[in-house]
Amino acid sequence: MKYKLVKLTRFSGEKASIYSIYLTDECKTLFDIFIEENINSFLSEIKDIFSRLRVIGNKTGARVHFFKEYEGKPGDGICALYDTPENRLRLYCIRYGTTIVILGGGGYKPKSARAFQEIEKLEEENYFLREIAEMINNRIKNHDIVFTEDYMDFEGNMEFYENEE
Amino acid sequence: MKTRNKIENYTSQAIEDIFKEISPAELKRTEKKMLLAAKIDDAIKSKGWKKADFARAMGKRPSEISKWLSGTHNFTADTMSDIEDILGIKLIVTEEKAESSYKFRPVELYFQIKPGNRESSNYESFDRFTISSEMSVKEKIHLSQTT
Repeated sequence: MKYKLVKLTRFSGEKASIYSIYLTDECKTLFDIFIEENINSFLSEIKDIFSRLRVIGNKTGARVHFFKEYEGKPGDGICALYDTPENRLRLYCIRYGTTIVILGGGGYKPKSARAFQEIEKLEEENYFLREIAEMINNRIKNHDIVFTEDYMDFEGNMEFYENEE
Repeated sequence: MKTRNKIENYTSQAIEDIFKEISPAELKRTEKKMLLAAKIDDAIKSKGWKKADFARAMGKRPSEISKWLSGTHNFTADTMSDIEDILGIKLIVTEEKAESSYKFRPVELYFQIKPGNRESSNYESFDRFTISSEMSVKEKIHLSQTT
């Protein structure tokens, strides 16, 4: 399967750039899939997520306290956009400082679940994003992907293949 | 030479449809909550504190502070007042607007003019001034006193 990084223009602004992973076979991003899977049951939560992403892109930047950190491997940048206690929708992201966020997928996390590993869907989404994060971070190390001068965007080779090393 | 492609811009019908459902009021509410959280976080850092220090000062658990800073919390006025005191910042604005922020209107002032003989209690005439709306209040009073 082939993927590429794309910038979500409706959320991005002068404070942060919001990206997602475009799945070439499915012609949609991980974030599109997240919306489709949850829009019927969690419209209010989805609207809240949209509003928060827009504020992050245009007003505040991706400040660390807006995210639940350490949702992936140490140092890979995977986190979850903070949800209100009554909202149970978890959206996984990869955060690069306050200026770049890559949106992945996510799903419903019941109050009874203490860890995402208890929920198959969340575990699947989280682990998939870990693979993406590893590929991106390797490319950053090898300078195949670089930050722009203002650190607001990526440049470079932003197409990936499943299971690439 | 390594490929230096620019990033591709993207939106989708799903994203566009949901944006149509979000009212300006909803977006404004979210924005205010997040800006409030950012202001509190900046103030904590300005004091050289960590979250745990702030939690201790407020008599709260660090997990409670994380919720406060998440950008999703609805603060009570009591809590905001306490935070203001601890951090030395202003979160609740209650002062009325300063006079200088009001637009001046032309004002006509009426003065009784005493005749040269200051012993007389009879006033000869009235005079009036139309004062420019560009003058400050102090300038107007000074003009009226010196003319």
